[in-house]
Amino acid sequence: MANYKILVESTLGAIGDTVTDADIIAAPADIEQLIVSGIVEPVSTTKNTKE
Amino acid sequence: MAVFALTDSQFTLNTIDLSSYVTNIELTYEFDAVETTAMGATGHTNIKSLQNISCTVELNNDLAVGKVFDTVFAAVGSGTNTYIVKSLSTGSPNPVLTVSNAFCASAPIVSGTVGDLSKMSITLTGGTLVKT
Repeated sequence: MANYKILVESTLGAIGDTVTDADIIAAPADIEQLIVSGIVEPVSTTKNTKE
Repeated sequence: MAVFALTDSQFTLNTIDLSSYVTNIELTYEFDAVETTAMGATGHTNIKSLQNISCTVELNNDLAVGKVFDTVFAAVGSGTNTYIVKSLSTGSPNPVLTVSNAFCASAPIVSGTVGDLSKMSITLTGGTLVKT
């Protein structure tokens, strides 16, 4: 399950909140459209590795 | 519920609530008609085929981030727009009309005469409408 950060105030939630792809589908909305629109951005799940 | 004046309709485009900017809205629920008329008929008969949804919305413009301009600009050219229309903000019954995969072909992103209020009128076509 991917997470997305809300970038603009919307019915998904407040700016800065994190939502899942299930939340977006339930909104309802298209994930790709929201990303292209700049409404949400994917939250990277890559872990920083320190040497 | 009695008859009512349309003063508080709701319009959300791609999760952005633009209701407070809407000055005029018309959502048309339509099906393509397929003719089934055959020999012996005394008039045309039809059955419904695909939905043919159309929504025209007139909005006061707002250039703030994530408001009217940004939302409309991003919707133009996309065939995956989702919008929700309600006749009232609250109350019951109050059908929620959700249209998915609507296409927005164009928008007058700058339009008006000197001294006019900046406005936009967009038309969303196609998609699938569900009433809940």
